[in-house]
Amino acid sequence: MDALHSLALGFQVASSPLNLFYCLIGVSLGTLIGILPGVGPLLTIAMLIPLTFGMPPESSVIMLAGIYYGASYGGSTAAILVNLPGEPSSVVTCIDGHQMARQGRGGVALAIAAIGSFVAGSIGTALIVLCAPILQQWVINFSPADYASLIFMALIATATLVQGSVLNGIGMALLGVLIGLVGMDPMTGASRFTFGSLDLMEGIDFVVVAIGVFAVAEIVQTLDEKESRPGEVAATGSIWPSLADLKASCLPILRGTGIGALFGVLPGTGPTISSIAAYFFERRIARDPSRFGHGAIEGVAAAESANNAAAQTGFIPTMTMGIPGSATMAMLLGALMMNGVNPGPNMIAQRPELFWGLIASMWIGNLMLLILNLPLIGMWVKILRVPYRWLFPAILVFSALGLYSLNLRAFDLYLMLGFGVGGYLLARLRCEPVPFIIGIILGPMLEEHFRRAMVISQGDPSVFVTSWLSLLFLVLSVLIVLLMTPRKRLRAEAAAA
Amino acid sequence: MFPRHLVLATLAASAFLIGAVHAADYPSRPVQYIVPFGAGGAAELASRVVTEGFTEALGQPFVVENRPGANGIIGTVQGAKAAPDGYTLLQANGATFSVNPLLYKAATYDPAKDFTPIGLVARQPYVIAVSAGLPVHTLDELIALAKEKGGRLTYATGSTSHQLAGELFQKEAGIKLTHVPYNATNLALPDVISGRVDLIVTAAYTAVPHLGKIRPIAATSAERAKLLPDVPTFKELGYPNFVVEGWFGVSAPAGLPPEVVKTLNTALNKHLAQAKVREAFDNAGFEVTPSTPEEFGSFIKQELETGRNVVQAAGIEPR
Repeated sequence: MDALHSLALGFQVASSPLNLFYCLIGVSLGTLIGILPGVGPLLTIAMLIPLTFGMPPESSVIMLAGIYYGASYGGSTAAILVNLPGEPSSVVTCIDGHQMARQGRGGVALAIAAIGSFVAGSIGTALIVLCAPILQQWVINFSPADYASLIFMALIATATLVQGSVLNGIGMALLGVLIGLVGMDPMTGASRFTFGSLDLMEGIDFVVVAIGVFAVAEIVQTLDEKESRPGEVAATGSIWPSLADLKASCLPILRGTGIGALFGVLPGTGPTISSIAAYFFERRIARDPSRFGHGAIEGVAAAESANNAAAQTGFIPTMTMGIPGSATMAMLLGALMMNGVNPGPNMIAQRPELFWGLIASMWIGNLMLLILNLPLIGMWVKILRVPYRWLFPAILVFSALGLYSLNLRAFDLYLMLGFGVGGYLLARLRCEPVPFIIGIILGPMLEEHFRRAMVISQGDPSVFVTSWLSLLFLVLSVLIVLLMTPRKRLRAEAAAA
Repeated sequence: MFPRHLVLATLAASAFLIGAVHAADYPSRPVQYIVPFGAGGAAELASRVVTEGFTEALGQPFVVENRPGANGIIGTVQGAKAAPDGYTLLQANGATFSVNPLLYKAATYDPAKDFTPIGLVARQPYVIAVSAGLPVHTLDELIALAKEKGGRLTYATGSTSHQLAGELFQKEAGIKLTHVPYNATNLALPDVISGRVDLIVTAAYTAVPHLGKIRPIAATSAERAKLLPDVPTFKELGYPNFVVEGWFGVSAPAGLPPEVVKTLNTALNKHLAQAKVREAFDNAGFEVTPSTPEEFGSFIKQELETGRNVVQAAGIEPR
């Protein structure tokens, strides 16, 4: 009853014409920057903060939050259409989403991503209302050892469950981890693998590698395929999902939402881990896992719902405890503080109109995003009909622009080209790029949490098995490897016979 | 009517004059303001308040450029190498000016010689706080416990400036602690709140929302933090040499003409005197402390000296 009353207050705040207007600006801007590779919500929010000083705090946070979750809608568009993951959380969307686009089902993939994101966003919002206190406690209970084991499990799942042999997958993941370790040692600040280069000290940005390995390598590879003549990628089928598509996506969306909502609250790892976990969970329970990687709609549905649900529940630790889970959230928190609001345990009691107004606006914003995105799908899909000789240079130019705007240095562009060539070679050798990319993202996180756990335990490795959460993740990792190895071997033998 | 050539000659002469004494009508085009960190973080936000003030007062856009990389070293090196014409300014702060040159060989600049100080903007008091479950309430109790545990007490930090305060604490109190570094303070909080890590060194304003779960023991600033007036400073508690604060200010490459320095310092201090600006900084946990360029210059030297003593005492070699 109390929650309903508060929510009513929230909708009252969020549906004022002024706040609706700012919400619309936020989500539209978010969609746009989500599509452009490189330019992310973090930079956009930073640039807009000075403009929010004269605004009422509710309006400014509603707009800035809209940019944040709007970007994840736009991110899936680039991932599906041109195989460009702009954010770590959309890497797994590329796997099946882009395959669908190549089969002429890009419109369907986009529609399912938008619908899944909307459902996840709505449920996520409801969960914030109902479970914020419980999930809040969960975050505090996660120790560095638990994080390390969770990340280890995500890495193992990625390495073993993609196409090809387990050994190949694990090798690629380890290669990614190695690249991820370039730069300053997180504990001591010592430079590693930088060869004296200042540019390498901060490490290799995931976006640089992703654009190189996915977009550039993809372009080179397509040029290589002489049969597929430019402009004849695939006939663009119906934009709207069929009843069968919707039926196939329904449960994955709900499961993805559940996984996303749960992992979304964890600082630092939220949307990335949850999209990976949701994708591989779907694959694991699918009746025919071999369809995954070849345009399985369930993969897109699960990953996109998970990252959006996580984006919503990510507000729980930020708003209720004042502990932002990501740099973007820290930025939002900073904006609130400069406007004289102190997020934290007392915020809901002291500024109910702000907290509930934001929650209600997220639901309204998700609805706006759905309405904005569905009609636009037709337009986006037309991009696929553009002949390759026009499309490819355009993708390269936009990628390079976006990348350059990240750090304003040409070094990143050379790196992108280098990884493009590397990615092409890997594809020729039939090595999977997905575990490689995920290794780059998760490797440094794994190292950080592992070493932190060891420092806190004063060097005693038993912490990884005495915490039951950590033990659970480790046991699950072992099970994943054991379950997958014989199955793949059998399949390989069947193929050989 | 004026003879045409005379008009032309006058125009030409004035154009020449504009070129020669450009300092007099500075700024005549947009100015870039390098922030050596990526978007995000209170210092970066605050720098946007500063550039807004310059833009208002001097009528040209002052544009924040984030040049992240290598803990702020890349942007700071770029700031040192830019032309000293007033069209490139640099945010100076505790991490890049008083910690990095001591910790990293890659930080090839000399904070005292390679820059023209323009003015200090604000300082940020730090506190040392314990997890609420740790049975200590005063600094003496904390030091006694640390001695008893012999290096097994852990302390978390989210930045190298906080770590500097932690190292100074160990040096001054004659104790040994185990350091647990984090990329950002917010990531350290769950571990400290839950008691997995015993202590944290952080900005006073970060500690405020978590009072009850963490307990500030002492402030590292020269004066008590406005946000935590009940927390005594190390100075009060008998450690006169223990002052570490976060700070940031405006600087430029070495050799900036004095007139330009004066213009910028006047505009900055006028902006900082406004009530709404002070309020925005207060809300973000910064205490506005305007200065003259000379005061700022000697402040930087003194900060570097403090840092050097700590780093040498802790036996940390530049990497």
